[in-house]
Amino acid sequence: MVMSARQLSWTIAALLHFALVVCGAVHVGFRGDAFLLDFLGQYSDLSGANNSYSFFAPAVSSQSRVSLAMRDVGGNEWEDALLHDPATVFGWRTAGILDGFPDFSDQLRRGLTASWASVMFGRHPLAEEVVVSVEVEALPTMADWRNGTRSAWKPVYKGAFRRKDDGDESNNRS
Amino acid sequence: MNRTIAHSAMVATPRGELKGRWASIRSAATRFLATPASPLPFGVLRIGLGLLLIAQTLAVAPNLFDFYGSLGLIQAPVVDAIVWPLTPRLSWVIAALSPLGFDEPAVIRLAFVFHLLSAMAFLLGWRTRVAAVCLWITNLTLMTTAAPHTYGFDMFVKIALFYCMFAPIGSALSFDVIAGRTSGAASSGARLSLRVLQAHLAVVYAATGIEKASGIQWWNGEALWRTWMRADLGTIDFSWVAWTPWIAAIGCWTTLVLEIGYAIFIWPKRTRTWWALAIVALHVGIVLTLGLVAFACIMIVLTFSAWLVPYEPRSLRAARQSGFTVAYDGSCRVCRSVVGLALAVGRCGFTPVGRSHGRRIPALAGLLDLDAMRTVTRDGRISAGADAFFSMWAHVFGWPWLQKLARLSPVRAGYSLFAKHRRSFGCRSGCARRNGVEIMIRRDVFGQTRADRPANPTSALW
Repeated sequence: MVMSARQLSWTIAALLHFALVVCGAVHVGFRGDAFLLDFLGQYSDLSGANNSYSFFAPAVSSQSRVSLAMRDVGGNEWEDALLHDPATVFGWRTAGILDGFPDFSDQLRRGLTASWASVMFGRHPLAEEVVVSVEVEALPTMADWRNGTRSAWKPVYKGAFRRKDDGDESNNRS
Repeated sequence: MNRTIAHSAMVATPRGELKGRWASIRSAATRFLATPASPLPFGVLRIGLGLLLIAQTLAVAPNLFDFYGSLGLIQAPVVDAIVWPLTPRLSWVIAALSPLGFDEPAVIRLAFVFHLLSAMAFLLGWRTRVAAVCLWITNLTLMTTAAPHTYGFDMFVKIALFYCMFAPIGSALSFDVIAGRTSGAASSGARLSLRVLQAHLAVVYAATGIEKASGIQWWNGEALWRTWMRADLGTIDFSWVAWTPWIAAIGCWTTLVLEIGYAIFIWPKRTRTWWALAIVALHVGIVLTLGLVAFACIMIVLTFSAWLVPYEPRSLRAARQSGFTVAYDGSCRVCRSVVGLALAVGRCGFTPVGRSHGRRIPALAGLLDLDAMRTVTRDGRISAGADAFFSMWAHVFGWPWLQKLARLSPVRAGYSLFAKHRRSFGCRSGCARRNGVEIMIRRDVFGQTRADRPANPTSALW
């Protein structure tokens, strides 16, 4: 049995695609100034070949949570939750964002917390300031748990956002 | 002269050996990548993927604007900063349609409905190739717009939908087969697509297994402890595991062995089924302990369709040796699809006869009009109608009790009703029946319809 030219072309295309899948799996990314690198990177993103499959690997990340505290011009303070029903698909998909939060770049952290603050300004028109705090759970090891140590929440990020004069824009203060 | 002959022989032998080796490698590669394979695995993949996509789409519907709105929980500029520049997103569609008077909520609803309709067409296998392309585009657009909200499930949907655009997903268990738009025959395209999917899955499991093994948590059991103790994932209180740490350690080691071993033990026929079933069990365990239902389901669908659905085309010789023959109306599209399905999924083969039954099956000699399915067993026993239908399924699965279903009167009535109106569900070459005689309606080169009697009015077309 001999491959036809059409079969051979598809086979070569499949092998090239598979090579990109392997590159993605071993964390080889394609991003750079050269056109070919950009093309390969964009193709890998569109086809899903750029994934690295690091599910719960090499270590299981800690759980994170966010708290949002509002303050109005009179100095009154109150809190609200980002998600009213964490049990929904939307709820735990959002919880997934929080899990990655400790590893995000500063720029992405600021962008995300600014988004959440903006949602709070929309929900609470009287709020003048929103303080976003993200904490990560420090789960003890099995041995420490047996010795009586229990989980504690450690702060990893805190940012305050003030409402701008023109309304819905927010501004990072810290 | 003798010296010259000896020299040329010494040179020719290694070259000949090299040529022979190269030829055998090429032949093995061709057998591995291009021998025709059944498209059934892709039919199963399409249905599993379609069901999961529809379920997920409906689950996000209540929070449509939180996910995809520019003022949602993650705003558009943040998303734009983390995605590739040329990957489609809803903001592009909104910008393109705003001159036509569509505002953002209208575009989001429109894209969502289009995505859902594409998923339904994809599930049913209706215009499957077009549906797969539309679904890939809508899924990618919605996924990019809500990029921070995505997780493993979306990653594998993206990968699977990309393959579905090229693989023969509409060639099995689809409306396209019933409508005659595509054949359910084995093809080299199915083999190559399946090999790419299989190899990709092997890389996925090996990569995740090796990466897990590089961390200490997967060796001392802490990884499972930390996973089980997460309030957002854990479905049961696992704090008691702290006093029996060996349970977590064994769980971790088993996960490592199954995931790393997947790349090796899934390929040989002897270990394939057991390894695939063990991986399915691993994902069922993930559902039970972590509640990651959608992720586990997509992984089960991928492993099941790639490895557990039979993909080697049944050899005609084996089918003939079974001595079981099924005679059916080959011009009826539904009949052809059902018989094709039985041939594809069954453990025991049979000889399908879709035309010239009287000539090809001695036991049915003289039978001109095939108004119901007939089966003939090795010992010459003939069944007709509902009996034949269930006899076929009983034979292919090796479950004799299935035949008893034909005794139920509603089943017999249902079969008779279908047999009477089978042409209403689709008929090859536009055939019709007038006064009990089959008429073939054909279009001539000028597009005009003419009706004429075929030479043998009962001969169905395969």
